Amino acid sequence: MFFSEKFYIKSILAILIICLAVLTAGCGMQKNAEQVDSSEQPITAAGEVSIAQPAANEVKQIRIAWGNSGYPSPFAFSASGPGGFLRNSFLFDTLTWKDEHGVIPWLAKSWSVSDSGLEYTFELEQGVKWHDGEQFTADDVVFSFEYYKSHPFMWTGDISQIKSVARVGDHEVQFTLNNKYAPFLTDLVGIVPILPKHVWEQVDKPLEFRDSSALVGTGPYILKEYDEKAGQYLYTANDSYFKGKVRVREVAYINAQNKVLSLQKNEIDATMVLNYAEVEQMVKEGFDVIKSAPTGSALRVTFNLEHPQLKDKRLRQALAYAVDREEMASKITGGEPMVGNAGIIPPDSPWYNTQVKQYEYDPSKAERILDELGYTKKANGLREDLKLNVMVSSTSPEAQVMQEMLKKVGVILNIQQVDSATFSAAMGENKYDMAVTGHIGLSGDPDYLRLWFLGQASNSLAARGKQFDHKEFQQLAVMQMTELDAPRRKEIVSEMQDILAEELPTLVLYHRPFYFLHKQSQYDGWFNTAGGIADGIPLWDNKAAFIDVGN
Amino acid sequence: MSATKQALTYMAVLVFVVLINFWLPRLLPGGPVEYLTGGGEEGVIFLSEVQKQAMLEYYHLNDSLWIQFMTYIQGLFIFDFGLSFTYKAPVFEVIVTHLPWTLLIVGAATALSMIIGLTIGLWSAWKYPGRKDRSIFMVMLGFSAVPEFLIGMLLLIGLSVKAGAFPLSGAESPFAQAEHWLGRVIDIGKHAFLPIATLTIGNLAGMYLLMRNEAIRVRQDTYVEFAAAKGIRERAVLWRHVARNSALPLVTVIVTRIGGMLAGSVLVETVFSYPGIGKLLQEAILARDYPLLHGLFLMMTLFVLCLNLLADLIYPRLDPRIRVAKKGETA
Repeated sequence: MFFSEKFYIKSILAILIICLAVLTAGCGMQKNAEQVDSSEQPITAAGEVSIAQPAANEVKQIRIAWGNSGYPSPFAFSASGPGGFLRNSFLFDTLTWKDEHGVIPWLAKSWSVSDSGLEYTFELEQGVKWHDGEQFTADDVVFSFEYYKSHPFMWTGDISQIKSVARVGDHEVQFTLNNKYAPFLTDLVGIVPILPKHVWEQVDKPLEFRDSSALVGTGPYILKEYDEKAGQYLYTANDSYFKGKVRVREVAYINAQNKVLSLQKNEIDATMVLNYAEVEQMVKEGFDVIKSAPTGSALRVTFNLEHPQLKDKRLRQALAYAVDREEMASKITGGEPMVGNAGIIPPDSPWYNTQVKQYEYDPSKAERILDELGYTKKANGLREDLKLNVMVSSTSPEAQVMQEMLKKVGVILNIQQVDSATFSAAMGENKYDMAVTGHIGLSGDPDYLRLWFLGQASNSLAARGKQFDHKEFQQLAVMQMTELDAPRRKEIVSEMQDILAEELPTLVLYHRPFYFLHKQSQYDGWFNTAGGIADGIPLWDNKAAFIDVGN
Repeated sequence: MSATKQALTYMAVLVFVVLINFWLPRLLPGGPVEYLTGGGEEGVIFLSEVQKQAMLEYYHLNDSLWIQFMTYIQGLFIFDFGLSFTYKAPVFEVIVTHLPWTLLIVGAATALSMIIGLTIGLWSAWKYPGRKDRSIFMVMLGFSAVPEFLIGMLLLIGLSVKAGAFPLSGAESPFAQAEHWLGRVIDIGKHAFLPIATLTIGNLAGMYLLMRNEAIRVRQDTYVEFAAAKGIRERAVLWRHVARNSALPLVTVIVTRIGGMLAGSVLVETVFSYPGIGKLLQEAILARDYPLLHGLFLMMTLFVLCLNLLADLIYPRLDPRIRVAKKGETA
């Protein structure tokens, strides 16, 4: 026989290793469990979060579907998508906020604007406490904007518009701007969270700061648990919230892979969906639905304006006539399609220009323009000298539908699917013909037209760093930003839409509504935020919806 | 091959991997900032040039590649890969959070597929040639042809969606405040069941085929015939002679296969949205999270190298034929 005792020991080795692995797994989990037990619970002055029985109009818990958005401190939350900002907004407050009617006072009780339009004086709420029991004062506001200068807030909110922030009294601050800035109340002090000075003045690496005090804000909720591995959040009400009683005692964000299934299986209570067919099915099953209004999103084609063929606006217009965008929208999302405004601003926005030029579906007109441009049809029915590529960053049914539609007028479209980082890099380097993007942020202040097209945006909202080379448009864009008179500003924004519709640097295919599935019987406080949360997020987890304001 | 030579080979492989590890992710078009601004599922976000510059500076991405490379090499020696871009936390911590879950499903699936696969393989060899062996052989061949993620999908649709016997995804029920540790264990078990089943089924056929073929070969050896002729009971012949002798050469093959299981976990974890390192790797690639990619690749490489080393060390001890050849050399 070949076996020595030695051999037995060795042969068990392999099995031992496996056992070891399983054991390690066990230990690791033990460790996780401990971390969870000592979860990020800021110590409240009042002692602990009381777990009272919910009163008549209170709800014990609402579970909403959303993915991982990172650690929700003001510096560590994930900047991809609106999730991180919203998770942070439950813990931290801003000077102003929005509800279903528009801008409302929040940490600032009231404000006044100087005649020059350059000075805003805010009177702050008194008796507001940070989660750790410290008093909130004007010093915190001054400190926050000072701190953001050296440690930028990694979201939106253009701090560079601010010249200085000065303390006028214990509960009064004055902002001085470099120039008039129309979206100041909504897109700047309505977005940037106010930090507790006593915590952050000692922090020089805010992104890595993971002490429990990193989550000390003034907000309506306290983070009870953050399940880091799965990216799930559990918030519990802050009982001494200055703005009023928090009606929803606990909010949980669950990382559901399939939202509709999770809803059916009662793993979650509410979720956002895009597909109208799913909405219809769930309404049959007894769920209630809210449709986002204003829509605030766009699925659109960006043209490379340096492309030898596409730089001719007539070709861009021909392509616009050749695509049946209404058909496309109803095929892809269902419901009542909202065809894209050639001037970009969605038709349900108060800034929409009703007179703006639109491109009806007119294939014969498209063919005529293409013929005029010299792209003649060959015997096979195709215009061989016009072959275009369209780049997409995820599976894009829009590109596929467009490919079919353009084929009808003889244009060959080739779809290039790449991942998100490649997509953005190609746009930045202008190495593309056309690109399809879908995003939100069109329901808020129309200043985004300036940001997209004046090379301010470092992203794929427009060809990055490439200005839309149109003198008149650029002048109008700066004018509207500094125009504080709303009716006059609307005129300017209307003119900008006219230019965009004529020039078509981008073609909006359709505006996609979001739908919110929930149960009204469980909680009835949901609403659509006017102009979207912050700078136009068309979602429903607005903290104001969870609070009885003024009680 | 002498021990020093072997050590040199391992070192060379490691150095090569360390180099590739740095350059490969950077060869992908676009970087972490492009990922953030590129939209994808979540839609595009607005980032001003100021914010972008601050980001690049923070992650040292505007340093020259050479300096980045030096930082990377320095970090290697103290297992410090820096901060993950997406998690904004030290890479080491991020990996430690996710690793146990992968070890759990890969470990359990390895053990299960070994026990089940080897047993069936042995039985099949015992029935060879015959109808029973044939049919099992066919079924297993069928199994081996189905890709893992498809097995996962089918199990997910059948047992979670339709039957509702198992949770749809994740590793634990969210925020379930289990009073007792046993409740937690049951919950974790329920969540891990389908991923483990998928990995096990995916690896079963390989184990089975290895064992069956080896056992059939051993059965034809003379000592087995001799044992049977001595009048030893059939069962004893099967376990004491055939099983033992055919399992030996398999040990090394199996050890190296565990590395393959680790790779298989990427697909399975994606299907079941299981928070292990497989899913982490997929996300890190998409997000161009260089530091996290460095950490993950290096960990996997070390894991596979260690398994190989183990196989190299125990193989001569297990296979008498090699032992004879290596006589005089103390391993």
